[in-house]
Amino acid sequence: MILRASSIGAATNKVPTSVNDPFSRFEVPPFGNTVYRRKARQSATPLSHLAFSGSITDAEASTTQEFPDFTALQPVIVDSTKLLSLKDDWDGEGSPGYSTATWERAIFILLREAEILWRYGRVTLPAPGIQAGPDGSIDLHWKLDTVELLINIPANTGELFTYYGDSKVGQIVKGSFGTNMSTQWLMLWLIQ
Amino acid sequence: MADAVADTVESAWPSEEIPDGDLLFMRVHRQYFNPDGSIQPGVFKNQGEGMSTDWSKYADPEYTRSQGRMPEENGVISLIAGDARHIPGQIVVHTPDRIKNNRAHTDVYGEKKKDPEIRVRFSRICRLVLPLS
Repeated sequence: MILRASSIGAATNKVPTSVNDPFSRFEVPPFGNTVYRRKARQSATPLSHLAFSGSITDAEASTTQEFPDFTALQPVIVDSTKLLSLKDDWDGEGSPGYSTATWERAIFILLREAEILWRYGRVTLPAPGIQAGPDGSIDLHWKLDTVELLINIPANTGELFTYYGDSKVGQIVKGSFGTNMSTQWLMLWLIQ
Repeated sequence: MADAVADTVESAWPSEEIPDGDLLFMRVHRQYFNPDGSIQPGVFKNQGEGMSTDWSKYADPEYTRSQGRMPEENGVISLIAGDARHIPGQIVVHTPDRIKNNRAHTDVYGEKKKDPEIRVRFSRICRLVLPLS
């Protein structure tokens, strides 16, 4: 059974269903599942071909709350679709536009880490800024009271994600990772 | 002949040493403004070999904004040259641009895209000096 956006709406906020809404046909990772797969679809919505298999029924999902709470992430994800309207030279300085593929990678990582955090500690991941990065890349940027973390999702799929974070007590994290590598520890550091 | 000589001399604006205490002005497109007015790290990037700024000796914020192709879409921030130099790998060089008739033009060379730390650091030392209109 695949947990659909409509199921999320039943337990959190009502999910927008407009034509341009990326959640309108979005299928999200069910609780406990870490195996992500792509599902080919004809839909034109940006996230519609990202799908996740699982075993929670719609009925269970609407009553048990045993799945990630994406309430905080939903508005920033929807808002970030504006990046996709920025075409080449959008700033008059020659900057390239942002591809759907890059945006999807950013959202994929964000939701994956949110799901893992929830699964291991029932912790809700704070919403990052999903921002225009250099050269068609996308930044995930958390600026919390005591911690700041910046993760860059490059436009080139052959490049690793890079990150930097520091805290007011002097901790520094810095490095890179690939799409298939979990950054659970980084998220735990973020919410310390 | 005299005019030709004068043009030749004028075109050779020397590259000067920028004191650490001087300001560098930089346009910021409205896309890089957060709702609270803070500046996103994504704006700190090289265009070509360096990050394009204007030295305060020959420019002010209004001038820098007017140099953009879409002035109305930009605010202007300032960076203290010495602070920029303290960010690892960043080199501030006065690079007057005769083609664009911009004697203030200054490049900040150094890797930015592949090192998020650099961009975070720039975002912490910048100051908004001309908000969006």
